[in-house]
Amino acid sequence: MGFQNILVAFDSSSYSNRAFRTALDVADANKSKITIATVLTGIYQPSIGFSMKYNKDDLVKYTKVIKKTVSNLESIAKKKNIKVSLKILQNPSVSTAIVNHVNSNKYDLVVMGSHGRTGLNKMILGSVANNVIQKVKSAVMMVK
Amino acid sequence: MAITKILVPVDGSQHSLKAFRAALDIAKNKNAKIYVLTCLEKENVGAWYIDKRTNKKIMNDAKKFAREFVTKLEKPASDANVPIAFTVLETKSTSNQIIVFSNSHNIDLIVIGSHGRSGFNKFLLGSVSNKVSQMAKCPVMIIK
Repeated sequence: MGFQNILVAFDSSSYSNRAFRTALDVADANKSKITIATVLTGIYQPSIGFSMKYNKDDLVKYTKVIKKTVSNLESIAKKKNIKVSLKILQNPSVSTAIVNHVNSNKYDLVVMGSHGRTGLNKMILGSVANNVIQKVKSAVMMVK
Repeated sequence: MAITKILVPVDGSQHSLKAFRAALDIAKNKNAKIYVLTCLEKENVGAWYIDKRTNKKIMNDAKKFAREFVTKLEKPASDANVPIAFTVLETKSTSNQIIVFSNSHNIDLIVIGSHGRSGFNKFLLGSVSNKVSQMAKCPVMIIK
């Protein structure tokens, strides 16, 4: 086997940064392609919960921020000659978005941090990580 | 982050062999050493009500069998020029033993199958891999 297509679930937390670096490490040896996936969960409105309706301005703004963050990562990857592409998913549930995307595309490996932006407890996994690890059909690597 | 020590818990199931192959792949590229760990659960022997000596005999036979089994993995490893070490341990809890082993040997990556010998549901994680992914201090790769 060998991991040709690697997906990194990224939310710019320190855990996901480490996950990206580990993914680079794995990709370096296999000459594989990395896709960075970020999920936009929509705008929270107390009356209806998360809605997927974005202002066009907001969407442009968010995409800009994401692209800026990812371009930093891309420059790191470029030094190692690894192709990085970006995928922005939109779904109210982060884990569902990642699981659906991975299962409907051909990924060999998902690399993600054990916690996201809200991780508190170092001992157990974050909710998204737990969800993804259980449902995804490809191999998963948890970076702590 | 350099990966130099990879732990592969093996129980003879299909999933664990798949994990071993994946670990071999990574180790080959990274010049890492593979530690193969097999745990025999004391509590599962179940002959304690007959005679304690029966228990011991079963345990010894199981150990012998396990050793024979893991040494079969030596050939693919030496073909790939990967240093490998085997450990067969008697323990009360497989998942705890894996975590303790990974901590005491400063393991950089655990590669584990999603299910062991008793897993039947392809959708969820097995209990051991679940516990290891939650409790381990190093990155965990789960092979499905």
